[in-house]
Amino acid sequence: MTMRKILGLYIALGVLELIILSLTPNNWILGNILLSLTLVGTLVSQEEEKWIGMGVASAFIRDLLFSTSIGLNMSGMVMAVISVLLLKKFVSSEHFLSSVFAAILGTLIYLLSLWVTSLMLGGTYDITSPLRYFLIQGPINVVISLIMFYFISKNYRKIIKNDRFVYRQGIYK
Amino acid sequence: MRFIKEHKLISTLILVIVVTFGFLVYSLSSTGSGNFLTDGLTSAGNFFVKPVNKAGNSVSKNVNGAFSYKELLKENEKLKKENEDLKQQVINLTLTDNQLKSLEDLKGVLNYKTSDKELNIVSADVVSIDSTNWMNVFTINRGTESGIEAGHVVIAGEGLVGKVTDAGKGWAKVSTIIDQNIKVSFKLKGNLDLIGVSNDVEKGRIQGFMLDSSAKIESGEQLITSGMGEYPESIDVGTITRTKYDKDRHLLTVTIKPAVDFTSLQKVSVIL
Repeated sequence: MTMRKILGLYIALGVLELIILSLTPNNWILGNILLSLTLVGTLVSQEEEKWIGMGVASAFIRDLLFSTSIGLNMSGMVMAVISVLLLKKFVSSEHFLSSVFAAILGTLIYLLSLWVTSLMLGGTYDITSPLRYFLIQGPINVVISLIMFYFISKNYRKIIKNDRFVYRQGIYK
Repeated sequence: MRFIKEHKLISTLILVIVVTFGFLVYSLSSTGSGNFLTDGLTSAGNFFVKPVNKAGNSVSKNVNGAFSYKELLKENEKLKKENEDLKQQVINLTLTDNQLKSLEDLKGVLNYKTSDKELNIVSADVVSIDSTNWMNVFTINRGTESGIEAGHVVIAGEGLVGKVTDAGKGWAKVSTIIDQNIKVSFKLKGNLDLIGVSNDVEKGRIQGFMLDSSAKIESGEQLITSGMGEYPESIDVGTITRTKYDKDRHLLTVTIKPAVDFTSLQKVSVIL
């Protein structure tokens, strides 16, 4: 996937997330679309750096617009992608179930990192806040990740198939 | 350069970790307040967010209006009853007003100077709220150009909303009283001697405790700010929905329904 395509995807889904946020009441727990996109992109793609860069940039924008401190969502995103990179060593990134594991692990790590960072910055939230959020947001993120996996992996499968075809033709000799 | 080209993933990871760590150190040292760069970026971001949010709010309002006909009828009946009660209250207050005038006259006669000052209020619209994490923070469309600064108190109607935590040109971030980080000192409207402090939030309800654990209080009693701490006196905090004596901690705990409906908050006022 080209960088331009990935950037377009982040902008489109970022606007979608903003619209959903403005349509729903304040104390609803919503899924984190851009987090799910970054987790699945990092899992499926062989060019993880593009997805990590975009994910951390989107977390920076979220910090600027919504957070009390810059770096809160960014640290959560960095820890979440590191956890997915580690997960990638043990599961097949071509199987759809791996996106479920990535969404669960990534969301949990993201929320816990957010909690730890907020404590470092003087927050007084207790551990029940991220855990309660994880119980509701986790399943929503799993559904979003499965949808993302379907579309992103389709794109990458096509590239891998083409590569294999080229290899059989003997071009890489 | 060659290392970066050959190890793109590791280079990206090192870069994002360093940048994130840098921002965290910056946030820690500046206790959340922004500088000209982050302020400028936030202003630019809000420039794009405002129209999207405005469109979303108007769609939400119209859709909700179409499906809440029965609720509106009920609300109309409730308001009629409230109107009758208020008329009765006006009669009672007219009597109190006469007493107040007598006191004002007496103050004049005695040449008594008070420290009362006029409060300046700026109205603002809620621009964006992030519901993807548990921190109850929202952004409003007024900022430093209107005199808003970090620490200013935010209200909606008569009820307490929270306080400004950061502000820039055209925006300000507000932490609400249903955020676990925000503590409010309150007292009973009916008995101003009974003071309490909030210490937790659960499912949009504020949890707190009374300083006098032997206080006689009941559900339905109204709470106002005590004037201690960051909030001025006599702003509605909410209504007590539950009281319980915690034997382990020897505390009289209260559950408070906030005076402000945070689920549909669109306009707020900032006390300068």
